Amino acid sequence: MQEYENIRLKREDVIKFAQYANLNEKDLESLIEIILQYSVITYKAYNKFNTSIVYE
Amino acid sequence: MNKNFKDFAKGKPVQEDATGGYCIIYNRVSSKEQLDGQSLETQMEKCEQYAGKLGMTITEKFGGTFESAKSDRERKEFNRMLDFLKKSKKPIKAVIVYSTSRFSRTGSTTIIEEVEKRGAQVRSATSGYDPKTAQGKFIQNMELATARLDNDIKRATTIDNSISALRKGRWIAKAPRGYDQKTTKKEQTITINDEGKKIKQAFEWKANQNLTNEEIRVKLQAMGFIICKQKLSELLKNPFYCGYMSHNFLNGEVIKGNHPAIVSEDVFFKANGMLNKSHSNGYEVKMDKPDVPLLGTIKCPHCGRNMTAAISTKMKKKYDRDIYYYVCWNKGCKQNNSAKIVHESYVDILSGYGLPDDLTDLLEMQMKKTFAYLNQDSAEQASSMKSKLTKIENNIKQVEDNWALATDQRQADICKRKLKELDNEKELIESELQKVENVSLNLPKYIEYGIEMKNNLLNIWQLAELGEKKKIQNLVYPDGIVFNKKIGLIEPLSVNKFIALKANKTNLYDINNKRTISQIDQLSLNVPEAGLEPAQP
Repeated sequence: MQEYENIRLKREDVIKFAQYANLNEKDLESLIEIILQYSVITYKAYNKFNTSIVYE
Repeated sequence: MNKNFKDFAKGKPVQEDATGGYCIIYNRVSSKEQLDGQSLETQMEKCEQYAGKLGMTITEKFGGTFESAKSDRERKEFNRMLDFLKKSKKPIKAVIVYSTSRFSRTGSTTIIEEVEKRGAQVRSATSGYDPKTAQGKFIQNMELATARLDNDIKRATTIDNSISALRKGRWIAKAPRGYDQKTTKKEQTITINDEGKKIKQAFEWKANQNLTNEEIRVKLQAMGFIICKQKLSELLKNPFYCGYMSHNFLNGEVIKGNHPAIVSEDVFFKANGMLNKSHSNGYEVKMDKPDVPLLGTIKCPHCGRNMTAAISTKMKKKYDRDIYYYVCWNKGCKQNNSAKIVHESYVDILSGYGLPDDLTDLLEMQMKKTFAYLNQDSAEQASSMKSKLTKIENNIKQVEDNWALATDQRQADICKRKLKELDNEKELIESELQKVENVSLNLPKYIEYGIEMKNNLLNIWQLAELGEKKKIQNLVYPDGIVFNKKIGLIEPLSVNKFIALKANKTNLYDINNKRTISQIDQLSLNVPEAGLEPAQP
């Protein structure tokens, strides 16, 4: 998700949470990626969801 | 000789000397610069003097403009002259040119032969040869060949210079859409224009959202960027947009240019990687069919390759509609699964997955950032679409006025057709605008929605467009899925370790994707704390 590079959570932001502090680098990257992707997909789904309500 | 024998003689009678009779003049220059430099005037003067010397009467003058002699057939004035020779009632004995090179630079004598077939000779005002004599003809042919050689040398020099310019990062042709270009002999300035921003968006849609070319084309059209699907496909494959140059002169090399890149190399390759994914194992896998969204995710359980989609002709005849199958064409695999059954199983398993609750804080943090970014993007898109909409509405008003004032049926028909086109365009933009404007929502509601839906990936998948569906599939099942025909169920090859398996998925199984948030609120979202342990399908 190169387009969203500037909004991706920073490693430091994530490890502030105790439960993620001991994650290895690979898992940390994977977690940041899934959170980012989910937020983008949800944003678009929310748009569609609202459009469907408007037209119902 | 008895004059009566004249009718029985063979061969053409020997013509009298060229002096006297009618002639025409043909002149040209090869560039605007020469036109401005009054080269034509000089040529014409010489030709007139030569015609006078031969005692000939000039009936018509051709040329007087710049046209290249590299291709004889592409010159308008030249062809008009040939046509005149054919149709002239007065016998034209000569076509006077300033020099033979002005006449043709292809080196071919064919064009001179065509003039001769029409009974005229090509005469050069500067050489003064008589083309009816063997020596004169030889000189004429030599001059033609020299002109060709001169052209070839110039061409080779131009190509060398072009290659040298390309290797220095200077583009030698017209810059593609999305760029403005100012080129002088000394310097070249290429800048990104407003269309460039839309092209950037198209690349990102392809790279990040895996939208189909048709989806991108429609979105671009709504933003006022009209392009056909084929041209869009070419555009997305042009490395110029990521700062590189590809040209026939470079013999297969791609070189970094001095012009600004519209997208990064990563985005370009990602966008094109997705294009290439459409071809697998020698078969074209249709990645953009909404009826078979699992293409690219579903693998053959036998060989592990991507399955493709096929329509059963037998079933089509029987039910008069397309019945899709996921198939593997690999020899020996014999995999052939009804898309309907596969989808039922897919919905069943996806309904069992969600994001664990302990990700809520992180999600909220990320969603704030995403909202700020995408909302700004939507506002820009909406502004561009609104401006386009205003233009179309003005055009519609204008056409309606014209229709009211139409004086005959033909004008009325044209207005009617135009109005229909504009109405369709308006409808499309309004529909896209509606989508974009709905994105400009408030942050708390978006976060509320996102947190609620994290337990319901199925609903998100059902709401998503094809490209987004594929993203969700890749997110949840990074290695894909296979369909086990024996038990009639989908089996994931792997599941993302941060995706949780819900204990009681039936709570969400029959969710209706048109449900309101308050209704979703009432659902029991029974998701266990999967934490960081790998979720088991």
